[in-house]
Amino acid sequence: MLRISGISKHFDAPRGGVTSALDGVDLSVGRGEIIGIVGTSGCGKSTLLRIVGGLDVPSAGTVEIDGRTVVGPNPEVGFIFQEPRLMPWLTVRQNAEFGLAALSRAEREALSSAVLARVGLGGFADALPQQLSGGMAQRAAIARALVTRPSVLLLDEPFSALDAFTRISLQDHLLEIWREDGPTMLFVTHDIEEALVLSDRIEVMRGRPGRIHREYAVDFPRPRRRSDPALLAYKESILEDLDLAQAALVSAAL
Amino acid sequence: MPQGTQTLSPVRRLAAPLRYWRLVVPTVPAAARRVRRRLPVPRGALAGLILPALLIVAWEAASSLALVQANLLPSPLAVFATLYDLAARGELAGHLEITLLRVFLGFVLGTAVATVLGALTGYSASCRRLLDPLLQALQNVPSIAWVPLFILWLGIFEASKVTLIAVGVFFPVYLNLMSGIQQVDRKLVEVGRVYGYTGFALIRRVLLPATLPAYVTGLRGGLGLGWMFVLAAEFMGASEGLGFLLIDGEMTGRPAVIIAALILFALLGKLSDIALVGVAQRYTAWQDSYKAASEKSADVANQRHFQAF
Repeated sequence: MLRISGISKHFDAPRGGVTSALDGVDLSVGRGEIIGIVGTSGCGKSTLLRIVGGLDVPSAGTVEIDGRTVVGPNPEVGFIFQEPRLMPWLTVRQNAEFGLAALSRAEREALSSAVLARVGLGGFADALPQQLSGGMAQRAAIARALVTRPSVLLLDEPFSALDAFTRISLQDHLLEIWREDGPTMLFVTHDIEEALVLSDRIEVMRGRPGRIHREYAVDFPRPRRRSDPALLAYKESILEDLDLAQAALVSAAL
Repeated sequence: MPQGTQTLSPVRRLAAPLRYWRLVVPTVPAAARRVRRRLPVPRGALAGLILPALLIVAWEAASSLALVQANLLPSPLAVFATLYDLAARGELAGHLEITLLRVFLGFVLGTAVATVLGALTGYSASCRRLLDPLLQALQNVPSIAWVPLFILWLGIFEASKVTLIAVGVFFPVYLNLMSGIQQVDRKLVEVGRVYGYTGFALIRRVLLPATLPAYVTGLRGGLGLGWMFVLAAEFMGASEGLGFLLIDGEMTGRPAVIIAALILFALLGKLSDIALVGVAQRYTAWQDSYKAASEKSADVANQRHFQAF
């Protein structure tokens, strides 16, 4: 159970004064739920994720995971960033073992071998990050986050830097992992289709400071077809929420 | 559209590029081997010997055709004969030994102090505000200007010489380490935090390895300056060493000795750099742009040469 209550975040502006990124965000997420957060850029969705992950401190409000207040990074929470952020001096295996420093070498190797096989990098354990393609590097980053078996997985636009094919295959992959491990997932995306394919619920954020504008329950069975007309109806509605429906029409016409 | 693709189901068609891409990416052990094989020196070093060899041939030809005066520019054979003579009399070993020892001690001392101060000013903004302005100001003092002070404080023997060399080594190491630490990718540090690393563990697992390439750049620049400063040190009254040999050659009017000393300086400087790079390569081979980094370090060294004198 993940409970976000009354989260606000203010930054000191560079020239004095204060800018607000978030204002009074409340969200309750059940165990194993997948929540997609969409919104225009600058609405504070990444900031919200960083606060849940303990990387940023909220100006007001609290985040609780299973009744414990989040005060900093915490082994229960895995974080997958937009970029792979692999340590370039470590091999893929060593990167996957990055969060396992407390374990013995044998335990680390067993866990990393298993997780690398799961993300399809079994044959690349000894490669350096510079030798990987973008999709492979992001898989390695997913492996690094999964290996500690976090109960909450936070994903900040995890596939946005990848090409369409790789993105679709990794989305499917993420759902497979979710079916096996069942982590609670909170992911930020600017790809509405991605949110519709993956999420149980979609939170639409907008404004500066950002608030949750609207919530959609997406209760279609999985696997979902990306071209399902019902999903496309949601997409239209979300675009309207974001004042983007007109823009989408124009770009579709072009 | 090519004929074959029409028979594929839509899913297959989507997946086809993925399967193809797996075939294209070489198996990694092979790729890794290729990267490693490209790094060691011999191939480039052999190419680097071509020009010196040609120069020596041209020089010998000019000497034997009496195009140059032998009392100003002795022939290569005469220089090698002088070297051989010095070696045979057991003088050369002594000169080499003491110069190498001075550079080594100065390098170790300068590097040690620079590492501590560079780490402090790199990691801590308040240390940087406190220390860095003073150190940067001292950097502008020409090396020779330290000589009288060091002689006054430490005497004319080894202590003052080693200290002078250490001063030269200090600055490139210090500057590169400090800026290297400051330029560590904040995003990688954040990953360290996500996985619970703090304090020393964070330094050891993230900051230190990320800083290593810049540190090696500093070490190479420092070593180059060490060789410059040993000459300054030995000019200020030594009775042994390559710098002394140089002065001695001038005093006694033996150009062959001067040229022999110059050649030894060039050789030792290059060999010590190769040794340093060889050791460092084991730890920095992961770097994408290792080549670019090592070339940059040569620039750093050159820049410092001009500032030093």
